[in-house]
Amino acid sequence: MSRQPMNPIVRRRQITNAIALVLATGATLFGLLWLVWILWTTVTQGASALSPALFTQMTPPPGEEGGLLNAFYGSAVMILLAIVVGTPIGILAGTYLSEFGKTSVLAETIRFINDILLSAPSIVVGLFIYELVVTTTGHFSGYAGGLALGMILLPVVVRTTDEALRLIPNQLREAGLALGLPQWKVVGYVIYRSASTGIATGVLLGVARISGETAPLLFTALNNQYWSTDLSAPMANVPVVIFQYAMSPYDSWHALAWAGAFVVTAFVLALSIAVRLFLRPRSFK
Amino acid sequence: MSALITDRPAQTGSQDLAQRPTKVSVRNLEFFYGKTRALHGVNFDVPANAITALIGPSGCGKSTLLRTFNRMFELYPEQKATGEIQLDGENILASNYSLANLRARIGMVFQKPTPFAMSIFENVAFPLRHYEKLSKAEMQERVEIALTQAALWNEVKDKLDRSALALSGGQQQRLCIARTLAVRPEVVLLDEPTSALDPQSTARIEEFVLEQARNFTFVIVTHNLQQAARIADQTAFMLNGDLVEVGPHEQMFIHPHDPRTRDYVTGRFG
Amino acid sequence: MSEEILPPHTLRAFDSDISRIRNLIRTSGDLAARQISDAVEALVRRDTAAAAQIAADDGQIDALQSAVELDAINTISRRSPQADDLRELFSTIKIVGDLERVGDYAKNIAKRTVALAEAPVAPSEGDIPTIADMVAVMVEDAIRAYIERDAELARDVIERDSVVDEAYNALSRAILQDITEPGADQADRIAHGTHLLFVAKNLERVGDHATNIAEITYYSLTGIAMGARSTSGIV
Repeated sequence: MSRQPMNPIVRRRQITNAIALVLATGATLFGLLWLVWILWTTVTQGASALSPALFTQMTPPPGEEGGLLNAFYGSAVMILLAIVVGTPIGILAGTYLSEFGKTSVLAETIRFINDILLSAPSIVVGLFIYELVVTTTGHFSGYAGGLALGMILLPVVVRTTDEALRLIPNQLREAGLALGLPQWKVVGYVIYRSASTGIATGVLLGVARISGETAPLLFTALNNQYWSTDLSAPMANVPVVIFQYAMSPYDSWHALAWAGAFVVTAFVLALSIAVRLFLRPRSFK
Repeated sequence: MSALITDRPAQTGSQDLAQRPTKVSVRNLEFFYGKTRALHGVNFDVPANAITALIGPSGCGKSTLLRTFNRMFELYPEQKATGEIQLDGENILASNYSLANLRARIGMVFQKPTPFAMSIFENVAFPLRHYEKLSKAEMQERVEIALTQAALWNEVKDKLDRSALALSGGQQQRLCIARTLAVRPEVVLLDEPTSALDPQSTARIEEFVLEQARNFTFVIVTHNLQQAARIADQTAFMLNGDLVEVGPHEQMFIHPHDPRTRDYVTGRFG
Repeated sequence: MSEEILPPHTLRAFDSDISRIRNLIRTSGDLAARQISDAVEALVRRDTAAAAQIAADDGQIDALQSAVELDAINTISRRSPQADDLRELFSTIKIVGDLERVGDYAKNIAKRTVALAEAPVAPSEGDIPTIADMVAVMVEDAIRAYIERDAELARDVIERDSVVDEAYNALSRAILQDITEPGADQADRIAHGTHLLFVAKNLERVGDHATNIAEITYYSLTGIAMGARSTSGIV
């Protein structure tokens, strides 16, 4: 403690600082409170509903015991389909933006449209695929669901690929070109290698995002109470099952809904942690 | 008299320099960043198998000049060069001069080490493979020669399959040099190659340049006046886009002709 | 003083700069020592042809001096030497200056030989070759100390200077005695003796320059200035 009289300017700054600190801390705690609450509810409700049957049995009829095996399977297949559809197109488009289009009018326009797509409500995407696929084929299907998820994944991959590539210092490109290598070789063999973790991170975070999407699946894959591997037929999936069971009056369905929510949350969390652990920027081994 | 002095100076003096054939000849070179003129009619000759240093304060145009030698500036649409740069008498700025051919003949090493995210071996082999179809044994040999020339071989010969990114900064820079040498260029451009390195690594690279000067023509841009003094046979001083003075070491560092050169090398610069 | 073998420079060109300059110094030192010996031999023999050649050869030492100076300045400019290297390169410039003076004294002795061509050999002249040998060896040893980086030898050379001084004093007393003795030929003896006095003084000065070189060498090797004894007060 200083015994000297406090300089009034210093004192005023300290008070301002203290007030700002209290406000910022308070806001952070307020935001965190809800997150922790949600997580806590999901964990307590979901964990108690966990059982081996969850992963071995099909979704039950009203009031009966059962599992979510067909829903897990359907979700996995449709996410896979989304990755197959969204990733290559997304990476190629992102590569075009970063390496070829750069700051041209066309590239900037694509970026703008992509950003709109990125922030478009997912139900709009669902409706679009409904019009495009479901009404033309005449029935709901796993294909339509996978396509809808792919359409949500696509802009995420475009954006993250573009950004991951633009993070690569220009000197690396110049170094490749200075050796007389053609641009496609520089991008394909040099730049991709350096950006691979960034691109993979983008894809995985995109997957984490689509694995909880409900709205685009409601109009496309619908749901299926039974085991089905037919992608051209309606397909069970976790988010829609959670939605339906949570709305229902049956306690056993409520429990399954919580269990499903818990598994999806755990999956997304695990994916995020995996991205942080294994794909954070580091030196290539 | 000359019979008494049996040892010739290790580095070339003015007389020796004048006898070298010219490798690169810059004629009335002007350079534009958009509408800004960064080089104002530069003229000078780069002697073959010698070390030419470009010095000058930041923004004087020395890096710009260097980047016209391999037309690196063409990556950026708003940049433009006029005038001529003759490589063995041929104007490389002419639009019909093949860029691939140019860059095979004129290699470049950058300020920051730019190893590719590949193994040490692949860093050298990958660009080489683009130019030549080589057997495995030939490839091994060429990689070893390049790494030896760049004074890196002894440090990496037991870990060629390890990532180049695990090397130290100085080693990475020598790897980039090896990668450039592997394709057997005639001219090697060095853009402040040691500014990100510690003194020891710097000395190794300078030693490499002195060692290899009879095999390649070097043009080095450096902020480090002492570095130019140590290694250059010929030094060019640039200021605000003009080439003020170019000459051998004795002229530039002991009795410069232009007062601006004198002020710069003696540290009296504005 | 133990000799420390310094590791090579990372920049090997620096090592070749230094060894090139050392070789020039060696050449220059050998030449200067030989010029002194040859000049005195020509004097004793009254060999005017040899003396004229010696006077003409002095230009070689002068040329070597400027070659070393230019090379040293160039090397200082190129390498920014520090510590041992700085002391050494600085020393080389001083050493070739001393050697150039040694060469001048040899030339002076040679000129006096021409003047003494017809003079009979005085009894006092007998000690001149002895002193000449002493100082020529001092020059050689001082240069050897420099080339071989031998501080012990340098100190030894410095200590020999007082012996030369004593010999010089004895010699000049003898010459003075010669010329002060009355006689018919005294005028000639005075004229000749004066030349001989200068020759003796020249040799004594050569000893001083050898000492200088040794002192500079000692400084170059150890960083310790032996300045108090220095006649030209360099370090």
